[in-house]
This record gives sequence, C-alpha cells and structure tokens, in this order.
Amino acid sequence: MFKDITLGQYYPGESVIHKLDPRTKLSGTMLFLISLFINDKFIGLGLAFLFLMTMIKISGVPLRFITRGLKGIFLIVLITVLFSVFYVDSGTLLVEFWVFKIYSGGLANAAFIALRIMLLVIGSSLMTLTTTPTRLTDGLEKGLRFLNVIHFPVHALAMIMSIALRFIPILTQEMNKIMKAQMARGADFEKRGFLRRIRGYVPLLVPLIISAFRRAADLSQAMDARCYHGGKGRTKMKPLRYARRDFIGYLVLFSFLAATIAIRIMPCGC
Amino acid sequence: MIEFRNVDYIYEPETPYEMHAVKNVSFTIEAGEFVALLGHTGSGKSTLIEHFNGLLKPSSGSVLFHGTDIFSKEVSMKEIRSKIGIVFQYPEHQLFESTVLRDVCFGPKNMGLSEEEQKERAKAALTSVGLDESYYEMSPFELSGGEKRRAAIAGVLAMEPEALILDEPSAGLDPRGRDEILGLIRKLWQERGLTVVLVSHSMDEAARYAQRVIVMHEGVKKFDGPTREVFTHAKELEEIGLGVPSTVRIFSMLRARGEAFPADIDELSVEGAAQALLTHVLHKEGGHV
Ligand SMILES: Nc1ncnc2c1ncn2[C@@H]1O[C@H](COP(=O)(O)OP(=O)(O)OP(=O)(O)O)[C@@H](O)[C@H]1O
Ligand SMILES: [Mg+2]
Repeated sequence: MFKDITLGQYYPGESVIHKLDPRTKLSGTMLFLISLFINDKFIGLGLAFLFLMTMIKISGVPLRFITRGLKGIFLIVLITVLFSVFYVDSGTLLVEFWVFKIYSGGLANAAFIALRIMLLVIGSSLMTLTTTPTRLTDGLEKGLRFLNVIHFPVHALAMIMSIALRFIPILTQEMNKIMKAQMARGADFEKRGFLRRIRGYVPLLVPLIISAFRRAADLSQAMDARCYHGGKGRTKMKPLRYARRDFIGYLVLFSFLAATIAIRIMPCGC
Repeated sequence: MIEFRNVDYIYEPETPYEMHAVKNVSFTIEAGEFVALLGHTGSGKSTLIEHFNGLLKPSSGSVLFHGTDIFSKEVSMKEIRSKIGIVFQYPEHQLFESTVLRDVCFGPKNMGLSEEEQKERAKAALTSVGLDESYYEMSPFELSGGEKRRAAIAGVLAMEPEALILDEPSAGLDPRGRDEILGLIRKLWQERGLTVVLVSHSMDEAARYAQRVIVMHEGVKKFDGPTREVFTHAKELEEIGLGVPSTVRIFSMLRARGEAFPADIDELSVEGAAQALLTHVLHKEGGHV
C-alpha cells in the first residue's frame, strides 16, 4: 500500500543532477514552484514542462518512476479539475445538463490547474529522487543557517528531520514484517466496514508502536554513547561546498525564471 | 505434502533495487519430516519460507499443498494459513493483546472458532510450550525474552497446523533458552507427527535435530538430502560460508592425522561422537569397554 509513494524515495544515479549541491536543488525546486505560480498562460506552463523534462532526461531517472508518484495525487487532481470545470463561466457554453454548465473557459482553466499540480508534484519528486535524505537535510541545515541569528534551532530541526526520514523505510519494513506475521495467524487486513477495519489494524499498530519506541530508546542511547550534544561546535565529515556545476545550475535556473516572468508580462492572448 | 516447483522470486522487479532472491527452487517435503533449511545471510531462506503459506506469490513456478496449487481458486488461503503455521524470526515482536491467553486466541479466532474452542486450543498450546495457568492473565510484555518467544510460538500452534515452519527460532537466546525451544520443537514433532521446517544458521543445530537438510546459496538450492550425507560435502559447505557441525569437523581432523574410524559411527550427535572416540581410545590401548 506504500508502494506508490515516490516522494521521499531515492533513485540512485551518477548524473549531474544527482551530484549538484543539495542547496542548489532545494533553491531550484523553490524557484520552479514559484515559477509555476507566476505563470498564467499555457505557453508558460509549456516552458516549465520542457524545462522539467530536460532535467528528468539529464537525471536519468526513468519516467515511469516519476509518474508513479502521480497515482497518489490522482484523486486530488480529479476533484480540483471537477470544481474548476463547473466553477468558471467564461467563454462559450459547450454542454448543459440539469444544473451543470460547462464553458470553454472552465475547461481551459481545469486543464491549466491540473497541469500545474502535476508539474508541482513531479518537480518536487525529482528533487527527492535525486538527493539522499542525508544530503537533503545537510542542505537544509546549511541553507537555513542564517536563521540561527534569531535563535531558531536549525540544527535540532535538521536532526529531527533526518532521523524521521531515515526511519520511514525502517518502519515500513517493520510494518511489512508484522503484517506478514499476523497474516500467518489468519489476520485479515481487508475487512469490510469502517469500524471492523480499524479494529483489524490493532494487531498491526500495537507491535509497530512498541517497536518504534524501542528503536527510539536504542537510538537515543547510541547517540548519548557517542557524546552527541547538539549542534554547537559539531563539524561535518563531508562539508557542503559549491562547485562549478552549481553556479551553472543557478545560472540556468535564473534564466528560466526570467523567461517565465517575461512570458507573464508579455501582452498576448495565448 | 508440500511441493515447490521451480519457484522463482524477484523483489521489486524492474527497479534499481531489483533482487532475484530465490532462483528455480524445487523440492518436496513429506508429512512428518524434520527438515533444516540452512544458508548464509541473504541466501533467500526467509523469502523461501514466506512461500509456504502464500504470503509471497512466486514470480514464476508454483507451490502445492497436498497436490493442489495454493493459489488456485478452489483453495482457501485462510485454510492454508491455519494448516501451515509459520513462526517468524523474533516472533515475540508480533504480540499485541492485553493478556497472554487472548494473544494466543488470536489465530483460532481468525479461523472462526467458537470462544470456548478458542480458549481450549490456546490453553492446550500454552501447555505444550510449557507455560502454565499462572501465565494466562499476564501481559505478554512482562514476560522474559524466552517466555515471550514461547508464547508467540503457542500463538501459531493454537491453530493446530499440520506443518510448522520456524525462522531461526533460537536467534538471540542464551544456550539454555536455545536448547529449551529446540527441545520443545523436537517434542512436538515426535509426539504429534508434526512436519517441521527449521531455518537455521547453525550446523550443530541442524545435525542435532534434523533428518534432512536443504542448503541455500545465493537463492539457489545447493544441497538437499539426509543430514549425514549433506555434511560429507565439507569443502563445498565451507566455500559458501557454512562449514560442518563441530563433531563432524573433529572426526575429519582426526582422520587427516591418520586415525582410522569405522564408517558407520554417529558423527552427528555429541553422544555418538563421544562413544566413537571412547571406543577408539580404548581399542588403541588394547583395553576393553
Ligand atoms: N522486502 C525486501 N525487498 C527487497 N529485497 C529484499 C527484501 N527482503 C529480502 N530482500 C533481499 O533478498 C535476499 C534474500 O533475503 P532473505 O531475507 O530471504 O535471506 P535470509 O537467507 O533469510 O537471510 P538471513 O539469514 O539474514 O535471515 C537478500 O539479499 C535481501 O537483501
Ligand atoms: Mg532470514
């Protein structure tokens, strides 16, 4: 059931995108998301689409891996599309039945929104697919270091995040194991009826929570044993450093953003 | 009773994490056998046993129970799971109920038995693993490690399976706990005619308890035969990181030094080995037994 979650999964590779500094990728993703919201024309989204496809091509991550993540948000896209189809009443009236009226404007609007959401999800999953959780949190910690000035606990937050990310696959695996063990005792996790279904999950959740606590206790002891005392004075084994490819990356990103803004203020009807 | 026909299993096919864990494995396990499934870490033992009751479906090949494919339409998965009990590694991690008795009732309850029958079976199962009435109302979480494991095994036994598959039931126990658990399994096998498949890392364990040994190596079945015979392949076994039982090793070292032993001595059990050595020493000194 957790097979379709692409967000947060790493796809190993050796591409330039993989090797980019995580800070570059984080800012790049932010800029890409911002550009999606600057866009108000199809041609702008077209540009974003092209940009993203190029990045995916360079990264070497197979397309079906990326689109797998879209399955999870299919319902959200569908609902949004339905709403905007019936909500907008500009353009020519195309279909009318009962209280529903579909206008050409509504259709265009729905397509626009659907495309935007899909680009948004694909864009963010490309980042997580090409960056290991460790590098990601490293990037966050260093990128947000300026917040230390206002005593924002950047290191603690990054540590919490990296532990959480690290534990997702471990707990998923643990859950699979417990699930199998209970199924071997005849447990049925696909019972009908809401309440019965929830009750059916007790044999899974109790051991899972116990195991999570056990692991948390073990981890805190291990951290203690290695004299972990927070971020102060802590050095990195592999400090992050920008390389030439990162400057090129930023250059490409800002050109893309400039093009997006240009399209936005371009006075045309498309 | 249980037959594997050319079973193949691939984890996460067509991804960079693809793992061909079981390759073209075939064997038949007869009713009443005690089989040890041996192999180095990652050789595919756990993957293999999850096929016994349909928790995993072979990527290709089939698993037959009394001659019918367990994935065919006329077979109920629920029935298969109650007839082939699997005890996973660290089974105590699956305990969840408020009392030991209720936890052991979980299997029978899922089989749809009446409450009385559930309790009856649970109590019988607990007795057979050596947990008496004083444990019934205890929380499973206040038991010791060995007791927890026995309670978890009782949880599977309570379904009264025809075959019991155990994944390293002795892992993480002290020598005494280990002997207790394995002794218990042997007793169940002897007294009830239960079919047993024991997954293990330990050659000594296999030598001591099993009649037949199946050796896995990198997903492939490497050896399959009577325990004694399989352990004559000392060299090959060592090459795949396993080796032979310590008693067998002692005799092969002595033979290498030129000591002669008859071929029919019992090299597999400690008692047999001791007897053979004693006879040998007395014979050399020209004395009498
Ligand atoms: N859920 C899974 N997803 C992907 N690969 C897996 C999964 N479970 C096991 N594997 C891989 O399949 C191979 C066989 O694993 P398996 O657990 O069957 O070995 P094993 O013989 O039981 O080892 P051990 O003695 O350590 O228990 C290993 O290489 C393992 O990494
Ligand atoms: Mg295993």
